[in-house]
Amino acid sequence: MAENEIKLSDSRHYRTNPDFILRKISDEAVLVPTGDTVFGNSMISVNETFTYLWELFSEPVTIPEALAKAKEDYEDPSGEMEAQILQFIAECVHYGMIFKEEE
Amino acid sequence: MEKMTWTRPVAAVEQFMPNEYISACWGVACNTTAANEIEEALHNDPYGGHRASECGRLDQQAVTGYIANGEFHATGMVEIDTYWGDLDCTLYTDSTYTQVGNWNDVQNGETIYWKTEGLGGNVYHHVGVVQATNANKLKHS
Repeated sequence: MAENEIKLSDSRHYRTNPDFILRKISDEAVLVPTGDTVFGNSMISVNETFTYLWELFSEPVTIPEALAKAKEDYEDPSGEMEAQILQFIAECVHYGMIFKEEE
Repeated sequence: MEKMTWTRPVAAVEQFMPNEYISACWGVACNTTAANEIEEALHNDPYGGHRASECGRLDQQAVTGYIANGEFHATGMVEIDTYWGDLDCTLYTDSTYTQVGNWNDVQNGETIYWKTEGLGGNVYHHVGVVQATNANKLKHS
């Protein structure tokens, strides 16, 4: 929806909801929702790039800052990284996994 | 340090889709009288289409969102179990229905304006007051 659209130029800071705890076991990572989130008692298995972004947003970060950091750390042969990071943020905001910090 | 190769971020929920309806602490009953007057003014349609037994029910519109620090934060609203199934509701800032609003700004007790669109393309203009429907989940509602 338009009100949830995330733009490259968005200068607000975003950060992860502390009600989700990231746990790494061997090569696997899961997010454990605590408190009363929309995910109830479920667990969320996340892949390596999801984990990377989750850790990146554990401190307040703007979208341009996050994209710049990801470009430093990743090769992007498919050219889809930017769009996929914006989608990641939009979906996490929608489900209350990431907050927009007030300006 | 060698760069890693980017792949799409993926998350898989054990129960798969989050059950947003369970976390819908707020509902909205459409003020069908006011809404039918709006339809009549917009479309010269005296029947309007808003009925007390449908969108006029408090449990027909579920405000979806999440709870953080004991407070419910709205992220959207769904009209449940209509003839066309569940319909997403689009929030507007006022009764002109011209400027899209932000669900994050919605508060309990607020009068809101929203549109729904059936699969046939009919657009309905609703108005109603946000009310807590699951107060036990809220510490500060």
